Amino acid sequence: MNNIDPEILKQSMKGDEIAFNQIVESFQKPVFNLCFRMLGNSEAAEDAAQETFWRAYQSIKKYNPDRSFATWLLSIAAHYCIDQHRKRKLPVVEIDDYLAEVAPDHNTPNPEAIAIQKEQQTQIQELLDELPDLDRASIVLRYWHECSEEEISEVLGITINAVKSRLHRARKKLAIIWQQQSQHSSHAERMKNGSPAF
Amino acid sequence: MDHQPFEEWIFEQKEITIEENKKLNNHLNECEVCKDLQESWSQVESILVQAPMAAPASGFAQRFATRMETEKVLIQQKQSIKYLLVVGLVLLIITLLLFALLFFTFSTGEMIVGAVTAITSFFHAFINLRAMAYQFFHNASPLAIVFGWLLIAIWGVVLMPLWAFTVWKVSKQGVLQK
Repeated sequence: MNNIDPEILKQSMKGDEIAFNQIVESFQKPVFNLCFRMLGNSEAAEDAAQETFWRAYQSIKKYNPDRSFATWLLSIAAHYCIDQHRKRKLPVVEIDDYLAEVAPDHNTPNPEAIAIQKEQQTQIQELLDELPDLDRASIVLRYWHECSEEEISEVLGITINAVKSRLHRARKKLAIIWQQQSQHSSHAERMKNGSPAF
Repeated sequence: MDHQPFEEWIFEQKEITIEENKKLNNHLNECEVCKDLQESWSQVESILVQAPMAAPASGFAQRFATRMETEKVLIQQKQSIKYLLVVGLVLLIITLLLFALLFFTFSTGEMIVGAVTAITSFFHAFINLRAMAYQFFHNASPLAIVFGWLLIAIWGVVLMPLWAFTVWKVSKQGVLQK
């Protein structure tokens, strides 16, 4: 996970806004990504990421420098997103808006590659939306943020055994849903190509 | 058929021994359920591994700085309202206590007499003050009046640019929030 210059952190803890803005610059992408994967909506993710940084700014004096800063920040983001998700059922995936943000910046656009990426991202978000909040957070932290099981347990405030069990359950569920989706799409393909007489 | 150890080997990313790997492969050759699960999971995992990080629209840090300013103003407003409420409440309590003290110390008749006396004294003081002012201007020389007006005009000349400068400064930079 991202590291931070101890001097910037020290200045931020003293209330230096310019130093804190440097933290925002450094961590905007991981925080936004976690919020986006958790909420599945770029507008809600922007609000959640902004709120995360605001909460971090307000409580940075209480931050314990012995802990990883990234873990502390992601913990604020994850808990906020879980709360938001519980409060209201969010509309799922604005994939076109999202792709404008994540699509690689090639000089010559490749419509086929973009279409494939679009499809894959839709599939990923649909899969993630099937998972309970903590399971989804565990998967996002594991695969996008490359967190270890210990780091995930720190971020989510659960035991390492609980993380292991959630990851296992989430992976199995993702595999089953993927399997069902594949069967459904191949069945639909057969129906489309088959003769109406049979 | 017991799938438990094989499911663990498929879904948990811990290293397995050569012996365990052999057992897993044998099981996958026999068990369609576990084989399908393993294939599905490896497809999902490859997509997860390749998935890019979502990034916010450009100017995120700038938007945060703006938001921080707004939030700080809101916090200051809330604090001001809180202090005003506390001061108002304290004043209300003091007033109520004074009224209570007044009602317990004096009779109704004494209070009415006291109120009438206070109002009369007020008007009397006003009349006296007016008479004093009249007497002052009546006796003052015309030069003193001109001098007074001049003093007021000079103050106006000094204060007006200061006021204009303050308005310009505040409208340009905003009020500094600490």
